[in-house]
Amino acid sequence: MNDGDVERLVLEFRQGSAESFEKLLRLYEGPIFNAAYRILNNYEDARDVTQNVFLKAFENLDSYDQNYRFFSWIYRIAVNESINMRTAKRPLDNLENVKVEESDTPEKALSQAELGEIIQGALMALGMDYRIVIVLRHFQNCSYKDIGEILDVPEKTVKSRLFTARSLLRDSLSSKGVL
Amino acid sequence: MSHLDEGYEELIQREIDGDTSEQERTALKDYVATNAEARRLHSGLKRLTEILNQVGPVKPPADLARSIVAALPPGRLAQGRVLPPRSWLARYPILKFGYAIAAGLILGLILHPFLFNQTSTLPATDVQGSMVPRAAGDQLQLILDGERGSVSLRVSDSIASLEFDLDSRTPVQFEVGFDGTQVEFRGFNQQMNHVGSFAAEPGHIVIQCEGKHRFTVLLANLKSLDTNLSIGVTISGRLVQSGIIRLPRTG
Repeated sequence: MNDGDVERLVLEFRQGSAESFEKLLRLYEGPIFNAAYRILNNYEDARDVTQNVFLKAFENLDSYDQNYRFFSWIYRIAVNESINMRTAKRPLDNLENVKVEESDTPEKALSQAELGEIIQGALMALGMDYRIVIVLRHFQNCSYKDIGEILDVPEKTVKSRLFTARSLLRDSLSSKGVL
Repeated sequence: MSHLDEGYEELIQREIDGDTSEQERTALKDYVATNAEARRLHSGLKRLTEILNQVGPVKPPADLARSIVAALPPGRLAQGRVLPPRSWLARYPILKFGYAIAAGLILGLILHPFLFNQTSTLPATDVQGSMVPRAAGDQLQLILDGERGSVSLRVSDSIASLEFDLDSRTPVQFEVGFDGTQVEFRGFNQQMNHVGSFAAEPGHIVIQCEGKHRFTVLLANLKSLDTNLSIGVTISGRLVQSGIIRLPRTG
């Protein structure tokens, strides 16, 4: 589905089409859930964030500026909702201290699940700004331009954050024998 | 501290992200061949990207889309389908019929006291709907190939009655979708003829019938928030009508 198809669905949705809303929901439900999950490392929180994202999109559709892509708009809601969720839970946990699982040796063959857990642990050890750019670039396949639009920052800032985030992540995974 | 010449750090990153021109790639290749630090950075970032790409997506909860639809505020959506179908059932409609019959039989055994006019735990007046008020915006008129029916909601203190009134010459399937964590199925009551099949699971109820029917689905809204019931009507495997009925708090 290209940008034009999505914009058509958005237009129909604005006119009250439940079918178009359902199609948008099906299109973005998985990516939004995954982005929230990678940012928050909590399945139930990711579920709540995804639900809030679509409710906010539903309620605020009239304020959506069609000069921007719907993709960027809904992802921006998702990132903000994830940050809000994280902030609300900050007194209850300390995600920055999430333990990064260690592999026994660099040569040890890791299962997909083990690798996923180690990477998720390393992600959670990053600051929120860096974690978000990694999630958007590597788990959502967003371009620099996409990320810039979503975060409302210049592409130059995206590249800079991404470079720092990757360096930190590489160091973290290297120290655990994954890289 | 980086010992790379200006611009190459960014160029390496862009090359990893597939954002370079042929000319830039050639220049970078030459540079990496002569600079050990550039080589280390390039191979490190490349390896990191490969590792990250091995992490697959996490599957969202199966009922997520349905719970989102159920939580939408009423009024805005007016047309089209609102009940996301179960993918395998949608792919094989015949299974849906068999599944509904099997589930109906099992449910009939388990919920025997609740079925077929024996709602012993509920006041009869609530079941019949004669004593309970009707909330605003609580009715869906059905137009089924020229034949008519309706789905109405009545709410008492403790229970919501979703009343179906139908006269159809063709087999009709009703699906009621809701947030299974907020709304609980409490019973099923038939006032006229028995339906072909009935199946209930958290967040989803399917009823199949043909001819004249009047039946009631009893639900309880467990939370203090309003929620939505999405109603879908399918004839011959085709969704012909859908709508939303607002379910206020009960109890």
